[in-house]
Amino acid sequence: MTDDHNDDITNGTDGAAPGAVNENSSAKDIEEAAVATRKQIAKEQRRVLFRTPGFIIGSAILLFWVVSAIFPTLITDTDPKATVRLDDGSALIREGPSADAWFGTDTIGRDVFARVIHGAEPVLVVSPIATILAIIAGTLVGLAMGYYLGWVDEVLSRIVESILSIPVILTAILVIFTFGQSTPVIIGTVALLFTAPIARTVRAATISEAQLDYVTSAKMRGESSLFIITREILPNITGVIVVEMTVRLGYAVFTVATLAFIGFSAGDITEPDWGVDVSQQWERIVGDVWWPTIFPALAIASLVIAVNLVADSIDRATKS
Amino acid sequence: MTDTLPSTATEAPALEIKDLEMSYVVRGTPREVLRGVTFSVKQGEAYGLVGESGCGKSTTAYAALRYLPGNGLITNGSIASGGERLTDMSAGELRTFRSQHASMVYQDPVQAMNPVIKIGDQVAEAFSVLGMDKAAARAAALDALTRVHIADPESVMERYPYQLSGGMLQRVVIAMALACDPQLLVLDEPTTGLDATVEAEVLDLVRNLRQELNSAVLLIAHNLGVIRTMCDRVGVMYAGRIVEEGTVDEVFDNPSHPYTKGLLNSIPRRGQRKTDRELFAIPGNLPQIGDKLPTCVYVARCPIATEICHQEAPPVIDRAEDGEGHWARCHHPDRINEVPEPEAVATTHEVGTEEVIGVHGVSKTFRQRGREIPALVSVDFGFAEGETLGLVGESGSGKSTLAKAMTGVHAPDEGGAITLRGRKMKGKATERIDESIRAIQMVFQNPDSALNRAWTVRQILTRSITKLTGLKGEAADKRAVEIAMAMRLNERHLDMRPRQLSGGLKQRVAIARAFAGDPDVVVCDEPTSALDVSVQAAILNLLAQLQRDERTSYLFISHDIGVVRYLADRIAVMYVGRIMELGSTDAIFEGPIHPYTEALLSAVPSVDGETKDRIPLEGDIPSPANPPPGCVFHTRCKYAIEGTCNVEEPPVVEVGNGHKITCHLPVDQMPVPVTITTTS
Repeated sequence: MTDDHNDDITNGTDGAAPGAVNENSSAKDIEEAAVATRKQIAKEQRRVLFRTPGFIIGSAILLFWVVSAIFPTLITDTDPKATVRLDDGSALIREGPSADAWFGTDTIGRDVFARVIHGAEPVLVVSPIATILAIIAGTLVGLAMGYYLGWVDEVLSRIVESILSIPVILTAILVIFTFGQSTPVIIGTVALLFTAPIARTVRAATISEAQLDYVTSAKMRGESSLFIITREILPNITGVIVVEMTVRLGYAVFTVATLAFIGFSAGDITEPDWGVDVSQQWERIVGDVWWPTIFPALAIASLVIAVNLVADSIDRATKS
Repeated sequence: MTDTLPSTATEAPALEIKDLEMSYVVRGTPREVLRGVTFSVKQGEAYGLVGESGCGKSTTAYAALRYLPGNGLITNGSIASGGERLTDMSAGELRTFRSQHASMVYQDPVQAMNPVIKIGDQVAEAFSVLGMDKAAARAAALDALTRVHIADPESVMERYPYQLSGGMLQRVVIAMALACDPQLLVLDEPTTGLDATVEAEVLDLVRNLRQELNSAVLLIAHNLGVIRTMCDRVGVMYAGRIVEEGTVDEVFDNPSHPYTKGLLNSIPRRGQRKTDRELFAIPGNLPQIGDKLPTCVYVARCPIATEICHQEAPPVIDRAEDGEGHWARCHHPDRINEVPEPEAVATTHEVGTEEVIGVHGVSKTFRQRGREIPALVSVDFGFAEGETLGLVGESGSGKSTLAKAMTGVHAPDEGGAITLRGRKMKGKATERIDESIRAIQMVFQNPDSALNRAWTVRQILTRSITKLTGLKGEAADKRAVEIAMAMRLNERHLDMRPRQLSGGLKQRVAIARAFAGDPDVVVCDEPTSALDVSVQAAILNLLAQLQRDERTSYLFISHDIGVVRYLADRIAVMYVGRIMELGSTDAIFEGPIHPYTEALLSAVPSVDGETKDRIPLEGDIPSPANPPPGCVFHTRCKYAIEGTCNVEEPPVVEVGNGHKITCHLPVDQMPVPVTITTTS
C-alpha cells in the first residue's frame, strides 16, 4: 500500500453534495439531525392520528354531544319537558318521527329529539367526573401496591378483587341504597366501581417500572419511597393512565345510563336523561312505539362508541 | 417442488441476493433500509455479515428467507436460493421452500420456543411438517436432539422450555432448524445473549454440524470475533450497503475500507491495555433508516474522504492480493493507511497504595420459600485509589449481587464488612451516611433502563448533584454543566430527554450521573455490552480518561475478556458466589491460572485469529442454592483430583505478588492461558 497521497487530501468542505454532512461538521451535526427526526416523530404521529377515520368520526360525534350538553338551545329550541302542540293547539302524543318532531313524541307528547339533545348534559357531567375521581384513586392505590408489594399489595389486592368479584349492579344498588340517591352518590359509586380495575392496571405498570435500573439508581442515592413513587415512576406511567382513562370514560357513560335505567338517577325523572327515558318508554316497543326508546339508546351507543374510537386511535397512533 | 435437487441446483449458490432494496413503512412513510445489497453464499460456505446496529444486517437475514414484517417492502432486486427466485414465489411456494430447504435460528432462544409445549412435541412438529407420522417424527426429534449433543435427550423431550438453560434451548432451536437438512441456514446473532463459555459451545456445535451437513450458513453477528472464527467470507455492512467483502482473514487482517478499519481499531486487540493507547471511536452516528444518503454511504464519517467522495458513488475496487473476491466500495482504498491510528496515551497514573473501599468477608444469602440461597460466600478484596478491578464470570456467578451489595441495594449478611477508608458502612443505602452514598455510585448495563425517560438530562444530573453533594439551585445547575462537559456532552443535550439521545450519549449521561458527587468508586456493570463496538470504544476511552483525571476506582464487571484486559489493573474471577482467582491483569494473562479462568479465557472468540485448544466447559453453572461439595468448580474441572476436590474446600494459594488462586492443584500443575494464533 502506498502512503504518498498525503498532499492531495482536500478537506471536502467545498463541492459537498447537497444534504451531505461533510467531514468538518463532525459528530455534532449528525446527532442534531438524529434529534430532529425524533422531534418529527410526534408530528408524524399527530398526522397519522388526524388521518385515522376512527379518530375523525369519533371526535365529531363527541364534539356534537359536548355542544349538546353545554348549549342545547343551539340545536333545538323545543322545551324537552313540554308537550308538543301543533299550530291548531292539538297535542302531538305518541306520534312517529315527522317534520314537526324529528324523533317523534313520547307517551305524554314530549319531543324525543329535544330530550335526546338535552339528555347529553347529565351523562356528560357525571361520567367524566366519576372517571377522573376513579383515575386519581386507582392510580394512588395501584402505585402503592406495585411499589411496595409485600403485605401492602396483599391487603389492597384482596379489597380490589372483592370489588371486582361482586356484580357491578349489585355493588351500585348497595351503595346507593346506603347513601341515598343524588348526583354525588352516583358519581361516587361509579368512581368506586372503576377504582378497582384502574388500580390493577396501574399496579402492573408500576411493577414493571420499579424493576428498571433508574429506580435502583434512585435507591442508591438514598431517595425516599415517596419521591421515587411520585417523581420517578409516576411520570413514566402517564401513558398507561391516559389510555385507561379514555377506556374507562366509555364504560362510565354506559354504567351511568345503566344505573339510570334501573332507576338510579340524580333526581327528577321528568328531566331529560337518556337512561331514564329508555327505562320509562321501552315497554312501548311491543306496541310499535319504538322511537322514544331507540333514539336515546342510540345516543348512548354513539357516545360510548365515539369515546372508544378516539381512545383506540390515540393508543394506536402513539404506538405506531 | 421436487424432493431431489437436480445437479444444476447444487451448483447454483445457496443464496444469491442481487441489488436488494427494501423499505420499512413507518408512520405512513416508506423508509429505505437496504440500499442495494448484493452478495451470494455458495453451497457449504459460511458467510458472515457484520456492522453496527441499524445497518440492515438483520433485515438482510430475514429478507434471505423473504420473511419480512408486515411493513417491510421489497422495492427492487432479487433473492434466489439454489436457482429458485424467492422474490417470484407465491405464499404457498414460500412455505414449502422454508419448510424444506431453509431454516433460521434467532437471537433469543427463549422467545423462539413456545413456553407451554413440551420440547419433544415442538421438535417433533418440525418433522411432522415434512410429512412424517407422529411416531416417526418423535423418533426423528430424539435423533435431532442427540445430534446437537444435548445431555440426556430423552428427559429433555419431556421438559418445558423454562426448565432449560439458554445454551440448551439454543441447541434445541438448532436441532429444529436442522430438521429439514436445510441447504441454507440463517443464524441471526445466535449467541448474543449467551455467556462466552456457552457461546463457544454453540459455535463449536454449528461448526461441526456444518461439516456434517454441507449446508450453507449466513451468520449475522455484531461480534467480529464470532465471525472470524466461524465464517469463510465476510461482508461488512454500512447503512444498508455492503462496503467491503472478502475472506475473513483478508478482511480482518488487511482491511481495505475505512469503515472496516475503524471497526477493527475500535476493539482492543492483541492484548492492548489502557496504558498503551486509546481505542478508536468512529466519530458520528450511523445514518437513520430512510435518511437521504450521499454518494458514498460512509462519507460523513470517513477520515480520508475527499471531494470526489462527495460527488461520485465509489466504485467497487478489487483488493484481492492472493485470495479471491476481496473488494471494497471506496474511492481511496490505497490511502487506507492514512486512517488515523488511535492515539497513544501520554500520561499514565500510578495506582494508589491505600485501600479506598474494602469488601471483607462479605456474604449474601437470599431466602426463598424457607430455602437459603448463598449468592455470595465470604468475598474478600479491596481497591486502591485509581485502580480498576475487573470482575468476570458466567451469569449466575454473583457478579451483580456483589455490585448491589457494594452499592447498598441489598444489605449483606451479618459478619462481613464493606469499608470506606477503613470505616465500616451500613448495609442499606437508605441507612448509610451521605458520605458513604456519595463515595460509591454505579453505571448500569442498559442506559435505557438506567435513565428516567420522563426527565431531562438536566433534571437527572441536578437531582443527583443535590442529593450527593448538597448543592442546590444554580450551583447544582452549574455543576451539571461542568460534568456534562467533562463527559463531552454539550449544553444542548442537557434539555433533552433520554429517548432523544443515541445509545452512546445515553451511557455518557449515566456516567455523568455516577460522577455527580465525585465518587471514590464507580461500579460499572457491563457498561458497554449494550453498545456497538465503535461507541464502546468512546465509552471505554472516557472511563479511562476520567480515571486518569479524577483518580476514581472502578469495579468493572464484564463478560468481554478483551475489554476487561484493556481496562483492568487487576482481575477477579467469580464462580458460584466465590472469588476463585484474583491477580493483576498481567499475571492472569501470563499464568499460572485457575482452571476455571483458563476455560473462560479460551472461550472468547477472538478477532485476531483462532484459539488453539479451546478448553470446553461441560454442563451448566451449579445453582447457588445447591453448590457442589468441596471445590464448587470440581464438577466441570478437567484437572479435578478425585477424593480431594470433591471433598475439601480448596485453599487460597498465593502464586506471587498478590495473585491468589483458590485451588487444590500444586502451582506447577496449574494451567497457563491458551494462545491465540493468526490463521494467515
